[in-house]
Amino acid sequence: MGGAGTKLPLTGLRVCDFGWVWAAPALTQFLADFGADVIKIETSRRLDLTRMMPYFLHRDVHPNNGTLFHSLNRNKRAITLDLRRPKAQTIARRLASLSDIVVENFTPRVMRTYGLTYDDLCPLKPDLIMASLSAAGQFGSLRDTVTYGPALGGLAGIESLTGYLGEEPCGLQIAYSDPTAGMIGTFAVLAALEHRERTGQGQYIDLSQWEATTSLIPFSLLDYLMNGRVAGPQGNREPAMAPHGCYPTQGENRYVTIAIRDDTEWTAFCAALGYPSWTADPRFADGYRRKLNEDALDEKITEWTRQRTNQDVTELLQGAGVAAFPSSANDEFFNDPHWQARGTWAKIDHPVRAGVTIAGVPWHLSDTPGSIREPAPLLGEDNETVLSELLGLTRSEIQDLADAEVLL
Amino acid sequence: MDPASNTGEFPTSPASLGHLKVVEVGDFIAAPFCTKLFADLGAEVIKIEQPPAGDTARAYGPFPNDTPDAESSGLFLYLNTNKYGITVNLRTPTGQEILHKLLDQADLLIENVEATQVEAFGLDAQSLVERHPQLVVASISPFGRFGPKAGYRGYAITSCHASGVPNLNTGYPDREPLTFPDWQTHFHAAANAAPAALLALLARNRTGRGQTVDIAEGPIFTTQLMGLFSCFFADTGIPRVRTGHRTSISYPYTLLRCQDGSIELMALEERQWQNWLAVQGDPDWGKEEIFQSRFQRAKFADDLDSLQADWLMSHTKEEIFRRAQARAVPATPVYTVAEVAESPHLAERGYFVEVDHPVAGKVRLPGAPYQFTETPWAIRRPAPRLGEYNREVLVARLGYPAEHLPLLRRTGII
Repeated sequence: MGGAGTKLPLTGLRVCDFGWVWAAPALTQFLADFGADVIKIETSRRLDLTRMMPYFLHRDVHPNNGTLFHSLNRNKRAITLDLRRPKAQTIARRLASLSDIVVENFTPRVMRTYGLTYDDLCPLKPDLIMASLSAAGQFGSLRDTVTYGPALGGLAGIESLTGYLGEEPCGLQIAYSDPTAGMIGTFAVLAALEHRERTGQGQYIDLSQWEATTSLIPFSLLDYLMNGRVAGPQGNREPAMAPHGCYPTQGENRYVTIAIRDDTEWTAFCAALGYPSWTADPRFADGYRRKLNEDALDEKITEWTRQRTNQDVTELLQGAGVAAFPSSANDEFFNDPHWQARGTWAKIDHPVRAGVTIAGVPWHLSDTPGSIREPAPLLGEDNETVLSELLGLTRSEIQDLADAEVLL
Repeated sequence: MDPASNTGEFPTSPASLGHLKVVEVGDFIAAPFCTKLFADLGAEVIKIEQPPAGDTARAYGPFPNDTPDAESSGLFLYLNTNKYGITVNLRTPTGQEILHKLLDQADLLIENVEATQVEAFGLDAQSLVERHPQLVVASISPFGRFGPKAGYRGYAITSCHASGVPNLNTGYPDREPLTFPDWQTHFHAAANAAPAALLALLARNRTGRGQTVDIAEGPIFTTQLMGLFSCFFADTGIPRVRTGHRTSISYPYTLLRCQDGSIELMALEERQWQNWLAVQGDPDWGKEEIFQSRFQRAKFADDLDSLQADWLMSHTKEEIFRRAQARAVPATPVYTVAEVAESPHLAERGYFVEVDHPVAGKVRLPGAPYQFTETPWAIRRPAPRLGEYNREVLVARLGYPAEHLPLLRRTGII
């Protein structure tokens, strides 16, 4: 098993991270958790939204107190550069030329404006791997679309599928396309790294968050492509299974999901319930009939679940080999011993405060596990170190840059 | 289609993962989507299906003209592009012998069998790595292969709701939470397992050894989507709860009905809200004191919805999208799958691809989630027919006598 002496898989890799908010920062978080030296380039002129969104430590609105930022950017170093200034662009280019990987998630014209596209950087570092995680891609008529993460799901088609059965979409209400692009982008970057380790060749990756998200709903897309059907919200239903739903149980905001795939599981379910007479109804005798009579079935199940806690339903049905589990409320998954045993969260001491709860390392590798070694950087925390150690600038050169408002 | 050579070695691909040999043991979505990511970037993926019916996705469709056929299921055709499919009954010693011969030469095994099948199929990950020291084994399951609830049964709805993401975000507070559509936790876990497995392979370049990778659909959905929001609850114990089609503390982030469907409107800066009013022709109500900040507006969300309704209902998604974008207002349409499929932008991007399948015919599929300049994503062969590569793999590569194939079929091994 990995221990303190285990080398992390990406030790020695340097990443120049122009990302902001969620998508690219999620990608570089994975790399940092597994050993890469990630240098995040920020500017105080336009703070990363996650530095300025609640929840703030000490309930004090300050760019170093944003806990979303603390989670996404642990293990990383950070410098401040006002990239509108030519001297800042020069520094950025030099940093990129000393990096293995460059990542960003701006709209395409931003890196063009700063002279930091792959075409600008490649001559300085021919084997560079660069990934851009824009909303809609680097080319195409909608490439300059201005949007926030939660709304990207609308373009991708997934929002149109999210809602109660037969009702208007209510949306996922979370920026699903951001972490989606982050992890698919991580795969792309690591695949490019595999290729470079074998051939010495770098390359550019154009990742559209829209396309990455659309790639995850093939079933509904294909029913249109093959049969012209336009799917709408399906609630908690599934094309084959019945029962399949989220049922109310005792207590405020307490629910349980139950899903039954075939007659074997259905029989086990009926037995667990003690064979109440309604389970013998011929309308529920096989999967086809259960699906056609799903409303009536759900009514009967709801009558049963309403009288029990979601914990009792889960224990009883799991004991019978049936898939049941709470629709966990905040306290339920946070206190679940299984979630805790899997390291879903971690606590880190940050200069601003001790004991900040952040996301844990998401992937469990048995021999080379990731780790959380450093808290998220303060704004501009690593300016001195990075500029002097990596770029060889003297104290007085750094001071000149600060005076010229380059390091903002 | 690429003909396999006489030695049973498939032609290697110039794509970035063309040097990798991957074996898939699984069903439906999680392991298949994970290995699809590898296959579409050139890796050799041998997909083992359980005889006689094969992968469950073959029965799901959608089917052209609603005519079910195990070789025409859209979900299967999408998830299994580029793979070499064989049938091997892993409940039999001979079947497991075949698996181990494949694993002797493989870099990566991806599996998502049910907890009750791990022992029966001989798939304990740690044991596999001990027997095949070069191998990386990535397991995907609803609750993971370790932890107090590792043995729990779960489908996509189970792991999705278990994560807490629906209860905290999706649906109305006085109604049941909503699962993410189309089995999202399977896709999400697969898209995590793929880079995690690549990381283990990169580590192997240094250590010379494989290892196990364990991905739990439910907990990882929590970590990836909700992990960054955790400190608030950890510190205060105040729960986050879903709020329907809009957020409650700031307006707008909301879905809004319009003439031909819905749009999503999000304005975090007052400048954006002012521009949105301009898009609507600067209505007088926009100047009301109570509407001047996004926190104040949140208290009057229903009123604002009503005030905007006439204008919204007389404009289409595309009109609103175009006008809003022209003023840098973050408003986007809620596209239906039809609108996504017909999107001119996605056509310019070359996103949808046409694949020719021997039984299903020409099928249009969603394509590359990314575009590489040097080692592009590509579909080199369609999804395999059931047992299509049995001869190439079992006979040419592994050395089983060709005349035994019928016997292997009759005795239920393949």
